[in-house]
Amino acid sequence: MADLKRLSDEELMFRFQKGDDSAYNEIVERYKNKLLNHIFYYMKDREWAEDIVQDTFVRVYLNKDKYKEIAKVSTWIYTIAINLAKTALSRNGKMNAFSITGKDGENDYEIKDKHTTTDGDVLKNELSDVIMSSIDELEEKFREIVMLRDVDEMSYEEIAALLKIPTGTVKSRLNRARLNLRDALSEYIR
Amino acid sequence: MEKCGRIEEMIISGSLETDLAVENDEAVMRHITECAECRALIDDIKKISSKIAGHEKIKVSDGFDHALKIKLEAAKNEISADEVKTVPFFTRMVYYASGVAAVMIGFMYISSLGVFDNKKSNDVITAPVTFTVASNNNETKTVTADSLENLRENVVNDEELRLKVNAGE
Ligand SMILES: [Zn+2]
Repeated sequence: MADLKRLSDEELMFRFQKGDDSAYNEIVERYKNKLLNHIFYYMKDREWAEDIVQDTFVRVYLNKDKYKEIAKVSTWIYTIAINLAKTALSRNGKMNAFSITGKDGENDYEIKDKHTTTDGDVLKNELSDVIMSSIDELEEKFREIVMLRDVDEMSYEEIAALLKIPTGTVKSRLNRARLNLRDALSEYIR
Repeated sequence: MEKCGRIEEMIISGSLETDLAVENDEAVMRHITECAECRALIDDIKKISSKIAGHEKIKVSDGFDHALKIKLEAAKNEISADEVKTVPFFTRMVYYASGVAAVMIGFMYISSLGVFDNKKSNDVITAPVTFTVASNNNETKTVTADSLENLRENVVNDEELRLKVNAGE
């Protein structure tokens, strides 16, 4: 069973489709914490996020035959998880966490400057905590991309497939998000 | 200090790599070594990225796997219950046809005994007779009568039996 660890996600999925449930368990192991971190940033509630992650894996199990190898397993799983999170949030009237303000304009990447933390609070915090709360302040499309790249460690191609945007757009959005973060944090990172 | 827009422009267009591990091309590198402002910008960005990547991640709770297992079992059971409920149309038709056939064979059997004979038969059977008719749900129904004459009446007048056949149960 140890050799399951060496298989790619896609190979695991193939085995699982052939009826090998231990391959499914390995997929769960690989993704449960990653998904939790990602979904947590939308739900802001740990228990709720765990619930969504479990529901995601239930769907992966029940819909294993719907997965086609043309897509990466990560893209497929994240798509399920994000859709479940969106549905759950909209049912609770908290959809704004996902809403995208404005179209793909060039001037819409400002960080909303309604920082909840005062300077005094910030000084007490670790820099990384300050950064994470700055990510929260980013516009959704930038926050999402920073999360996928720096937290979930997805490749540009994986992100492009997930968000259905060109790889070039992924790079430029990511850079703009980072630039925004840098402007917002300039006084803390020196 | 005057703002140098060059690298910033490249960042926005996506043509510059701000990823930690990725090296930029020679022209960019040369500019960075000469321009303190752009160097600071890129250093800041990389610093932020590494902080984000290194930020403490949360882990699923201890009960996660168990809760998932329970949810999975529940979902699987729900699916098999659905499968039972939705008997395919073709299968239902087979049940229905076999039920009708069973009733017909029953009547043919009764007629072969002369029950439906127009000439009133005198050979009355005195002992109680039981007759089993299958409904189309593979459910059987037993009709009892003290004579073949009455048996026929009982089968034909059995409202429940007729309704079952008509409803295709
Ligand atoms: Zn410069």
